[in-house]
Amino acid sequence: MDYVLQRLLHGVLTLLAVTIVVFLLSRLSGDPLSLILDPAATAADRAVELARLGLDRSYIDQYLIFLGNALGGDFGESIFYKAPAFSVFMQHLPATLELGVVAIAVSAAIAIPAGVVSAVRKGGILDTAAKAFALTGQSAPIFWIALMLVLVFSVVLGWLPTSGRGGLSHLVLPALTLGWYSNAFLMRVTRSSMLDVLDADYIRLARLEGLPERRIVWVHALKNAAGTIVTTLGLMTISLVTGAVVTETVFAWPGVGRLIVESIFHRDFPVVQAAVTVIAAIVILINLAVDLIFAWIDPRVRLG
Amino acid sequence: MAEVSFPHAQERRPGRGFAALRRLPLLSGAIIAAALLAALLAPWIAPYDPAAVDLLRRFAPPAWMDGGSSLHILGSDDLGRDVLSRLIWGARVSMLVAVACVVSDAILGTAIGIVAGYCGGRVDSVLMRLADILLALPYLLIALVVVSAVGASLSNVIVIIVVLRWAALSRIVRGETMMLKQREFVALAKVAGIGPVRIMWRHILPNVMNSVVVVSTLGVGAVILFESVLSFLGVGVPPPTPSWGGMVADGRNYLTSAWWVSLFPGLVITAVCLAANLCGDWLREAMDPKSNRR
Repeated sequence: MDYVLQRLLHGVLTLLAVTIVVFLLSRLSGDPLSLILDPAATAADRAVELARLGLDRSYIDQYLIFLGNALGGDFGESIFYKAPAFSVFMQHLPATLELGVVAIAVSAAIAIPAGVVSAVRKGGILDTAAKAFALTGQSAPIFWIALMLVLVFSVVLGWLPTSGRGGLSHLVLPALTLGWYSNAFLMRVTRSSMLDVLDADYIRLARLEGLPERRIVWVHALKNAAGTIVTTLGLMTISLVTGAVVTETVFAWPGVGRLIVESIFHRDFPVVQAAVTVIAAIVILINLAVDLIFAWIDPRVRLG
Repeated sequence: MAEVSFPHAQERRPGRGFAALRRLPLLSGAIIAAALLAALLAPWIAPYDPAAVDLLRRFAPPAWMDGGSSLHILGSDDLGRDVLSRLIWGARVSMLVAVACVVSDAILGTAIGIVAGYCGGRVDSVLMRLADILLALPYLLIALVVVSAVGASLSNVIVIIVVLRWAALSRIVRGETMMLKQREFVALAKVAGIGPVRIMWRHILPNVMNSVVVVSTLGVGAVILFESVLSFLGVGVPPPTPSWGGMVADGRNYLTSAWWVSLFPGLVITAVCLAANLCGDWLREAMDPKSNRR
């Protein structure tokens, strides 16, 4: 129980930190009234508006108002879209979720088997190739990988569309790019947790009992390595957000990552704030859920 | 009891092929040295002014292609600027950001880690909670919000990266400090009446330096990548200063006709980051007394 409370508290603290950063920066970025009021407004209009928005009060009061509004999904009006910032964000969310889910699936389908094989055949050709691939994958900038995929598959071969959202063919390159981003990391974690497990006594016992090697590796060992892998998938959501911002920008994918970048150039702060706060909340919730599920499966985590 | 050996139980040594290649990272070292030299000597070795626009020679292909000439060895971009010269000048931004961020983060992370680990108690929990929060943040988003508020500039990029990145190192240093604190020489120093600041400076710091150097070196590639992402998105170092990430972005719209504008800067980023990561790996193994590689 202690562990659960501690994780919850940590999640709440992290989220509060995000809101404080977002709030402080929204005040740093200039007079919020100048964005709302029309330039012809009189001093009296200003005063009325200041009081209505609570901007005449202390920063702490203002922050609490901001926090209260944010909890209710109210981040103010988008300057560019002329609609509530939160609903603008929500309109862009499905595209990102679609991309993210497919990318994780692609990444897991490639990286987990590759990690397992490279742990079992440690030092073999596949292991070496996988390691080289992982190292390069970690060192190449994702935006460049994206452009090179476009260059090869769209420009030279002409197989796939260069950008936009549509049928399955539009999804292939963005999903590959985003999946590529997490591949290296996931593969390394799978490999090292499999190596830990493969040395365990019950695996030796299973071998002594003459269980088929394939069953030992893919059922017994992988099941026990799965905890670390699942936690890694949770941690990966942070880097997936980073990857999504870049991937969506390159492929003109109409999701929240591209929305944030465009809103920054439109100086549409309510949308940036709404998007960053809600995405941070989602990332923190996913990690909290992963931690709690992991603790529930494995008592050593919550008791140790 | 007799020692029974199992397959897998003993193959714990680093594999032969790849590890052997990494034994002495000569190539990696050379790549890093070349990047540093390019950054230092850019004004003297770059064939052209990186900002010199020449609209008559837009999209000149690299020298070895049809229509290419030795005037622009790696071709020219949409404004007729020489790609090679911009790559050389771009090294300045990447190397400056990498060195500034990695050194500042080493100092900040080490100081916070040692203080947290040595003082313990409330100081420790506050500092480490802060570190945990930073580690759990989607850092690119935070960087984007900050840049949107304070504006894009070289110094802002450096400050943002430094503030977002110290946490991981401080956690490691804190852990080591807590272990060192239990050791006899620290207890003896205390008995001898040496103050806590001096103990941390003279007795703890030298003993955590190995980890600091290794972790920091491994961070070089990540910092270069992060800066390049910011520059690519247009929130990093503002034009006309050439940066590798910005150069890839410049070529984005001309992939069909002039692929070289985006290809070369990306290749350079990959090579430098790969080299930095390999050097970091090598350093980690070289400094780790537990890995006794022959």
